Amino acid sequence: MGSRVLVIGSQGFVGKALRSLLAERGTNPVGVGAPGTSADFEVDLTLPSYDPEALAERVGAVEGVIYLAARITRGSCVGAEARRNLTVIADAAVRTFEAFHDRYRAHFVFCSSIKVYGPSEQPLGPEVPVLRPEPYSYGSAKALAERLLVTSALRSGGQLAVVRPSFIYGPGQRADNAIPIFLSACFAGKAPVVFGHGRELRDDVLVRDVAECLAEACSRRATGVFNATGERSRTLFEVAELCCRAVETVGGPAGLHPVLDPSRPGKAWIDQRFDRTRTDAVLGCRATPLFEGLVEQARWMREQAAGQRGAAP
Amino acid sequence: MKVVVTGATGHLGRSVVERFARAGCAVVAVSRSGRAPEPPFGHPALPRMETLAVDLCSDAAVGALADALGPEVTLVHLAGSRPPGTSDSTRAARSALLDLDVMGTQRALEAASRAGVRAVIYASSAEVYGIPQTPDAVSEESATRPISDYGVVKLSGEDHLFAFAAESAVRAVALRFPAIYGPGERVSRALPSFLRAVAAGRVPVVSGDGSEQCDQVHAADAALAIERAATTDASGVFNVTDGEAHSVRALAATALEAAGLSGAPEHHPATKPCVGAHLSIERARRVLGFQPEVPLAEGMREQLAWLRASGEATA
Repeated sequence: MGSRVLVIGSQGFVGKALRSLLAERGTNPVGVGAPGTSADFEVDLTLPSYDPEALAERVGAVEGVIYLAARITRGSCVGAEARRNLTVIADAAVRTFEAFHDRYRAHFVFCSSIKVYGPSEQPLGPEVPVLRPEPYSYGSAKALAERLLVTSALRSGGQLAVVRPSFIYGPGQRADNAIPIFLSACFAGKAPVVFGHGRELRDDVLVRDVAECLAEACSRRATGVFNATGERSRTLFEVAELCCRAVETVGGPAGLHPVLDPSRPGKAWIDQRFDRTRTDAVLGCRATPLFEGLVEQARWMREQAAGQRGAAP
Repeated sequence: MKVVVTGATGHLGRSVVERFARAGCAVVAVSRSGRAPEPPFGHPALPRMETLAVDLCSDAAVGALADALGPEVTLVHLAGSRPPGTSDSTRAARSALLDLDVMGTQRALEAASRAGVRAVIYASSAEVYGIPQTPDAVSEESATRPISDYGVVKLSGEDHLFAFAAESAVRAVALRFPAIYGPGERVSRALPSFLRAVAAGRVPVVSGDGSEQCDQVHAADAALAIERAATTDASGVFNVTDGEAHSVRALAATALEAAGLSGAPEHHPATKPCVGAHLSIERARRVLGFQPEVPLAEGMREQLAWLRASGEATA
């Protein structure tokens, strides 16, 4: 029988991909999700009354804990919503780490974000300390969590890995993100529209690659920081162009190219590039080329659409 | 100018309230108890000021604090649950830090966002740097790798401060203080424990060889830096110390001198590794025009006098 690994945030985009991957590899994933998500254990991590010791007792022995739970909010960086983010992402994470270390000596993998990095001319590697996170509560909360976990591990000797994914795309992604919006436009036969000048650099990583980094960090009991980023950063315009080619490849409308709409401001990306050498060397992972991942996502979207048409009365 | 000061009854808060009040500012002294801050030792009673009871650990704080703020008001946010340089954090202590220093700062900033403010000045800590990577004086560009929960929550407070500043287009300043000493300091750390020892006629006991750096700033100088930050148009992060490098050993020797005692400090084996950093205050001098005014020997003599007068020397 394979090892048991607890996945906290098991019902989300990354959580689903991670559970599938762990199961494929003969690991037994045990899921924790918010109430109403049909996870193995439903727990509301936004409540200050969240009791990780009680959860550890109910769950039983696990070799590892992979912590993904987060709320993605795009509202104000201050306010009740931002504070709930801090509770789920930082406070609950460090208390969970300690409870499962105390009871089972479980290895802990924290899924952070590249949003903890600040602007930099140089490629950002894991040795770069957490800089000034971008001004949304998500990045600030991930930064707080990483730092709290470090001081806690210094005290307890607990084993800890931090994985920092970039923008995560792939089958299962919510429709209101750049890549699904570009792909949907292409399927509808329309040129995808890129706001602003389209030259902002961004790094996209396939959801399965993130799951693989998390799973490897857990099974190898790796410690330290790992960038879970794509093969390289690209401009938003390039990403849109690749979306056009991916849709064409799976049999969708051909000959489309993105168009710029300079009248609407582009999003203020921080133009970062990342170094994932340590991830490849220590975890033995490889980044899927963006085009391959986009073809996979386009194929999935087409199947979803076909399924919905088939299900219609 | 109107200034709203959170943490107004604390060691630093009292000096800050005094400085602004004597400069003729309208001051609202905010604390959990709502008590009027005592004037610092040896100073006359403070001019009239408003007081406001706000518990930043509760969401009700947002509305209550917002009522005192407005577009012409400067918010000086000092409230925190532990002074720097004190003992190692426990899980219970961390929980208090998260409640007040992280969530409390969030609530203070939400109030500022709701009411609008002229500027926010935030008391951060030298503990955000952790163990210095080079022997050079630590500048504001140095890497931040806190090894204490206190350093972690203060750095998180800075993150929220500058995120708020970007979102609301408000001027924001974070001042990174080392241990703040001066009359009224009641925490247990090297400098006050050396003074308590000499006040009782004993020699100070130094852990290890005492060669590690231990920056200091007098509460009056910390308050001066806050006033400079409030009255200039600067923004960003600034180190604020007395501008001198002090070793722990030198603090012990200064304590002996302050008490007029002869002899040398005793050295006991260190129970934990001693780490310390020396911060550069060049940016604060250049941009804020900050010039520290209280030399260490003078400040320690003043603190010793307070210890003796207040009866705290034997506590």
